[in-house]
Amino acid sequence: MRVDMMGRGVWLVAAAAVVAALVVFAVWLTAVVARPHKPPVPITDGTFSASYNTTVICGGGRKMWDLTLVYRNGRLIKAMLDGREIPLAVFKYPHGLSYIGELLLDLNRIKEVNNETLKPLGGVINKRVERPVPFADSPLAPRSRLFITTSFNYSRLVIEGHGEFRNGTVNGLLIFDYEAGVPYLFIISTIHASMREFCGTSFAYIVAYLREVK
Amino acid sequence: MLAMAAVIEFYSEDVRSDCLGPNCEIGYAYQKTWTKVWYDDSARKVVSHTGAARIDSKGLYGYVVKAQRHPDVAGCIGDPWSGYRWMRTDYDTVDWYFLGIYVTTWLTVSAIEVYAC
Repeated sequence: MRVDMMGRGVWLVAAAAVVAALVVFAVWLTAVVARPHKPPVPITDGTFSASYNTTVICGGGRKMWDLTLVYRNGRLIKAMLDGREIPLAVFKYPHGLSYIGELLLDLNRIKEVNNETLKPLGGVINKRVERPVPFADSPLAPRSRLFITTSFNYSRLVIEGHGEFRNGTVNGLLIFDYEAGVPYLFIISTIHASMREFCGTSFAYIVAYLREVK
Repeated sequence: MLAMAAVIEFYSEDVRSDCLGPNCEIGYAYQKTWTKVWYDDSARKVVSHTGAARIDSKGLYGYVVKAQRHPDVAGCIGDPWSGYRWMRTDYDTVDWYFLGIYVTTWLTVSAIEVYAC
């Protein structure tokens, strides 16, 4: 009799464990498997047009604009913010304070650049390969992820006719899908007169998530 | 004539979160990036500034921090035509996992601009 009750207890515990496991599995299915699958970034030959969902922080607020970068053979030939063409100098160092813009201008430079390259400019760069995973704010999934960060300190940088930066630090971030050949996400800071049309000031802090590649 | 100096605190934050189950017991993911700037309005100067992340997980959620910049940008920016502002931004990039399976990556960015410098 006692053996029977013990046996029944073991079965109840086992059944409860199975039910708990099924609940956890159902939650896991909901959270992980049932998520919409994001299409991978299309593989390019260096000639493509990439559109980005962009948050621009400048002039006392956050603005959401579209940024489109047009590339030919890995070189940026045209950039449009909110449907209006902007000068490529926006990305060029020292306008592009963190140097990330220089890498966006010529994607072929990304594999060449290293710590030594930035030393003459007073900045540091760090490059590492990470497992490719999609950001929540991009509808595309990267095929590969090269993670690049930069860091610069300025006591006084004056760009005549555009603006200046004093006593501060500026970092940059670029996540490059090297298999697709497309910048997947980047954060850049720029001082350029063309930004006054958008921000009222010449400085803009830009966070861009890849939305579409054509 | 008595002039009262005041130090003003400015605060900005960017938060992403997810909650599964009652009281988030099954899973909880929380990522916040925040920035604070203290500004002396009589001297028109930034007295102090700070920023950081708060990243919490509970239950079946886990995370790996990929990149953090505290600060990302900090300094005086401007030009003679539109004026000078003191700005600070912070960001955090975190990969989130559910039962060890990758779920998503959140980038949170906070920023403050004040008319100083």
